[in-house]
Amino acid sequence: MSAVQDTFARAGVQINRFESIAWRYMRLSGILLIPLVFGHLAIMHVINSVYVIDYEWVIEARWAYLGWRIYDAAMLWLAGFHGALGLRHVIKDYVHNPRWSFALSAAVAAFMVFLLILGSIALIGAPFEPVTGVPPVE
Amino acid sequence: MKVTLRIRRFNPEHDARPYWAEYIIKDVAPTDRVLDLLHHVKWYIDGTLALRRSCAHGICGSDAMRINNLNQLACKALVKDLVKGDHGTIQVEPILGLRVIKDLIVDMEPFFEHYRSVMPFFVNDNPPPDGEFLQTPEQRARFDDTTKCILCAACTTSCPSFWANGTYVGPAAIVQAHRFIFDSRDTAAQERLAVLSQEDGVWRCRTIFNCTTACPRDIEVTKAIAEVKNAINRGGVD
Repeated sequence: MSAVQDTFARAGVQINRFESIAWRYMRLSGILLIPLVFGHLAIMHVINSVYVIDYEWVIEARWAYLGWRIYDAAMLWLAGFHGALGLRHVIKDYVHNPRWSFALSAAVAAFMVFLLILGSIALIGAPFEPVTGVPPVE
Repeated sequence: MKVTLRIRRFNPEHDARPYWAEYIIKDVAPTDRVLDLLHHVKWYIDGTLALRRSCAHGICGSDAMRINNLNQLACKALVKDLVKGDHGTIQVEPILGLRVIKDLIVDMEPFFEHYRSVMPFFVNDNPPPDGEFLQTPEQRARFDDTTKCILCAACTTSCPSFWANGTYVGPAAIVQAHRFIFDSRDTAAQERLAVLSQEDGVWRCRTIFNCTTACPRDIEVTKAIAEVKNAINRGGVD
């Protein structure tokens, strides 16, 4: 081992696994999100309209089937991490103060965790049949 | 033909901010280079114009500048490729993302700091077998493209990621690292991959391809960066 390699080894410079995994995740999730998002767009905005989509419709037509819940969960989790990692890159690009950069990245991470928990509660906790007797929201 | 040369000028001793100066040059030949026009301005019109150039033949990499909004070497950019007809304007400004010292001269130190960070030199402390390290033509071809780099900084200063944040190591440093990472005789590939796997390493590349367009040596820069990314993802060179 040369003196230069010794210096690098002592400095503890090793391959950054997190960045490598995050980079691959962005590519894979990006590819998977294309059919998921366009499918979602077609179902919610092209095939059906706001006049059809309501609480009963979501439960009866979609969430009564486990497959649709898995579809929505995949979109939620893939897009959640994809968006957060993307925002992290934007922050790294444009926020040059290390403290602000860390604080904003942490805020994005916290907000993503909140959204994922909220979405997951809805997907797991929603009943498989519409609950009757719920007064309509005015 | 007649050319209006529009130059972004700045002298920190006199000017509060950079400004555009225009110089009309007559009797320009279509095969003249932008460097010839800059020489004409400096030698016959305004001697205060500051620019870097050395070999003037596309080898030393001193005169990279932004010509008509694209990074090029002034000594390789021909007037006929920039002006159509008998009269036209050519716009010249310093490369972006580095501090302007004066006129077309920028502070290259941040660029060379990134260059030094990737160990851009041959590392192998083993005694050469039978007097020299042998290499097959195929092993040589693996990194042939990236040996052509002249460190002109046209790629790095055309990169929007570098413009946004100068901590990004930049395409040129990655190209230089590529030249040694894929050299079968070198023994420090892992160390270089470790350096480039950090936050400010190859991941800041968004495959925008400006670097490949800008390279005056026609190096496939974005492809070289992708090969380094793949090597990091695999945990080393094959």
